[in-house]
Amino acid sequence: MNAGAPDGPPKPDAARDSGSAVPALTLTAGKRDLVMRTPLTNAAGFLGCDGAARESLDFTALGAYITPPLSLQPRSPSHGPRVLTFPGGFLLHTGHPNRGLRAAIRQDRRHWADMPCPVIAHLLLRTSGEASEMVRWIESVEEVSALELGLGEVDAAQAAALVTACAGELPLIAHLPLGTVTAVFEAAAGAGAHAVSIGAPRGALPGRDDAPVRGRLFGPAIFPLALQAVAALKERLQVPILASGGVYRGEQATALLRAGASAVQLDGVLWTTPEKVLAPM
Amino acid sequence: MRRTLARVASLVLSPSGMAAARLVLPTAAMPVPGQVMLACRPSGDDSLRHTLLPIALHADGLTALQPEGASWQPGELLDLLGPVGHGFRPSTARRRWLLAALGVDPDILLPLMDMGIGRGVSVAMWAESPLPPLPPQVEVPSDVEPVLDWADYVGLALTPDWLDANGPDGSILKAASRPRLAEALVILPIPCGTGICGACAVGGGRTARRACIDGPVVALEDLTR
Repeated sequence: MNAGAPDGPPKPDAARDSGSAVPALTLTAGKRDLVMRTPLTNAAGFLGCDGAARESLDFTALGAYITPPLSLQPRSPSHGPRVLTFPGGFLLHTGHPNRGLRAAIRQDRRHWADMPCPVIAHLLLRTSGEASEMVRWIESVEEVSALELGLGEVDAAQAAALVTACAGELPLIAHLPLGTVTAVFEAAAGAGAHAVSIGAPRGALPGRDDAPVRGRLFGPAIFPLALQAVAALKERLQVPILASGGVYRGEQATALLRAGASAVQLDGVLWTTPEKVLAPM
Repeated sequence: MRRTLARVASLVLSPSGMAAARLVLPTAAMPVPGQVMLACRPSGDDSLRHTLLPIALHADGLTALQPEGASWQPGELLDLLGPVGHGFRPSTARRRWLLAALGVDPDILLPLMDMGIGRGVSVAMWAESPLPPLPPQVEVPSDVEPVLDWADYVGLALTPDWLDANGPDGSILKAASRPRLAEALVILPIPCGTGICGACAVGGGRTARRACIDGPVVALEDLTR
């Protein structure tokens, strides 16, 4: 998340002209709208919101800030190797540790209120009952403008049920891993998702004793898959697409936008050289 | 924590014969013993930062083990984030230090050894692997148990794998965790350096610590309870 270039101000490569008065993306729901002025966001879990994060990255370059994945109950870190590298990328298997939704609201709400861009809460969903309860909590937080629904690896019926359970006052973005079949994206959109986002693909690498470690894949090697997925989904979906995957340079973000994405989520580059993508405001 | 540019001055071998790089960087960015730096190429070609483990601190920079997968060359610039987290914090009242490398390269503890020598304290060093040549004032015991009784400060370096294999009740940890100041540098990948990803968690459950924020040096009792 260290956006300021070393020993000097950021010199972005510029994803595209984001200084236009026309919003990059607008999602409208019952009572609240999400209006993104620029087409770039962080991917959930790649950027914090506290003072240290704000000092190290120009948040005005973001069209929205997405919270780390939040579950209803607190979650502990996974056991075993959590980071494995491969040529062109890396695998994360963290278990999405977090304090739970209510604690996150209590502790981070003041930071969300200070954001120069809208806040999207990323919810880790398991059951429809949990989803409904989480949405009830988060809808009372006026600093949140939209929800990104972490649906995980689900089939079409499960995706539709989870999205339906979250319907309410906030725009919904159904978040599914790259590699999910198109029918699941369509089911989520058909159930009421205002947009979809493409998350990290799942994969496995040999860990200790060569036992496979499953996790989410990131890095430049993912970009060709992401670009292909956006182009394919654009032909089938009527809702906006937020793309991610292997974006480490401005021209890659531009390519995803030209392929039909309405916005691009940044992941690993926020931990290395974010100025290579973030456009000046 | 800040980003800064460092220059690879030369490629060297560590005292234990491991590949290392001598880096030149601003003094304001210098770590203390136990702190790490996160490095990537400023060109944007690295998918993740490498965790840099210093083995020597100099007036104008540091020498660090060359991370696996890194192929830096002399003259190359590196984008460094850090220093990350907390380093070793031995009280000045502690005068008998035992440093022990458990399943890791003992070179990693050399900056702490230099700190102890600089303070004029008695330093003993022990490792599971062969130790490199050490200054004459550093004691090298053949058996660690008696030295554990002697020491009033214990500085360890270990990996989560070593901890999993030996358990928190491993004899060295158990002895070292007797009431006294004992700290452990936990060696593991630190992807983000900001506490957001949770990948560098040390320990488990709700008492888990993040190496990048709460560590990478943690109180030994945090690992053994």
